[in-house]
Amino acid sequence: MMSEVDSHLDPLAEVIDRLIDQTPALLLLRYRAARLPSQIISRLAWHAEKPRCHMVEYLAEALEGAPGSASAIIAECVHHAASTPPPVLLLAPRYQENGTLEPSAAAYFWKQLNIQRETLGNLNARVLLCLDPGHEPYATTHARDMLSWCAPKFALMADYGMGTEEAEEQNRKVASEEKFLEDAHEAAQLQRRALGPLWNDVVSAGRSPSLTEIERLGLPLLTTALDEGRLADASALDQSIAAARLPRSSARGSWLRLHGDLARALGRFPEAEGAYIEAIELQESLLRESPGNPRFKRDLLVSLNQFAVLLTERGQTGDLARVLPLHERALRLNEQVLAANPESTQGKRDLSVSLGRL
Amino acid sequence: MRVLTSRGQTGDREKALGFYERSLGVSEQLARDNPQSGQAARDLLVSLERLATFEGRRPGGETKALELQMRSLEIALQLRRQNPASFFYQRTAAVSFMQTYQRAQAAGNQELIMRCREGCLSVLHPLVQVGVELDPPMRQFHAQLKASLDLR
Repeated sequence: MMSEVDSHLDPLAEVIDRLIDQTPALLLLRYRAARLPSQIISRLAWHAEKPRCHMVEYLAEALEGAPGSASAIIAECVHHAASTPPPVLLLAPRYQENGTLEPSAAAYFWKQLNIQRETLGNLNARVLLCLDPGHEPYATTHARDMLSWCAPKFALMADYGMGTEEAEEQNRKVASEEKFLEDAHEAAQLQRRALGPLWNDVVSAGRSPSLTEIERLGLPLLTTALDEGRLADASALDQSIAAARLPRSSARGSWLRLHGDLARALGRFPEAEGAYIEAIELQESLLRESPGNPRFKRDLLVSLNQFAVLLTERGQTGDLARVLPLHERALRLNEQVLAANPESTQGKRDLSVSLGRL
Repeated sequence: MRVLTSRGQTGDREKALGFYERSLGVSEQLARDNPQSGQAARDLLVSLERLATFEGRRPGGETKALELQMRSLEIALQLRRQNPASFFYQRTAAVSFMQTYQRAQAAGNQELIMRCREGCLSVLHPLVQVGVELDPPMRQFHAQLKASLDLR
């Protein structure tokens, strides 16, 4: 039981206990401080022995899609959260044998978690992100982005002032030794290494990929291939996704837009225009059905911007006159997304890009 | 090509300038809020270069353009220092040197022209030596730099 460590963990223990009492609750825990994790995990383990609790362990160093990765634990959470009555889900990290987490792997994990935040956000649960001031910046950025996207659904443990002075000192020391992460570039490389083999397994099995596989594997890989200019890889991915005949969904809208990006990169402008228009029409209709959905707004504003880029590049008579209204509409959507979540890093980045394109 | 600057209607340039300055402001804020983020630094670098390009095309804007470009170069070099093994940031630094070189030429700053040539070569040459295949514009610029510095 908890008696010996209670005195060290009062603020944290209170938060954990309170959240677990507010069923259903989902606890996400990530800590790198040297001594604190085992204490916190002990407390979670203590709670996990209760009948309705499930302990879900994540491995920050697990490749995306593998057991313990963001995708895998989210799937596990979705599975458990569907049971009646709703369970208490405890997410805790499993550390390497030496008790550490590899910083870039942890950052990658947080990025994946952030990408799939909507799934977590839709669970009948609150999500507690456990973070402290010494956390590596990239992970912090993603955690705060999740928070800004859907507060108070996501709560940040750091805001509860948890952590001992000693632990914070340890975190500061580790953080000061870290270099800048190569952010998107590094994440893209990790993603290719991690998701590529999983997607290849799906394709080589000769079956049509499922919607989930397309969302979690196919679309991220297609995005990365386009970003890195690997057009042959992008074409192969695009064809596999096209063959799956995606139903009307946000994923189909995203694929249509990416198909447009690919056709544009290959100089097939009429095909690109058709794909962008179809994407925009679909995304507009989804947004009409859920006018407040920030993801649908972002999907649409990205498609509007990309279509405008196509028209600018093509430069046919009349194209230029169509460009400005598209960018302006994207900008308005961007402003709406930001107004709803003023602290969203993604929203601010989008705004900066949109303004720069005008 | 940017839509407002290329359309060229009355008031478009002022409107474009307003948008680019606001974009720069947002990028600066993101970089301030995320001082350890390479991505935020890169976004700021892009915003500065965009505004530098805009100013560089304005009559009398050469000095302002150079000032913005110098800030951008500082960020590129900082990212390179912090990621010494990254080809991506080596290339970013080389491109930034190249653009600063062009702005320095427009502003007639001979000392900076020479520093940019040497700086760019110091980035590109080790890459070429280890067998990195540069893309055509960069390969051409590397050849030009080598030739110009050999002639000195």
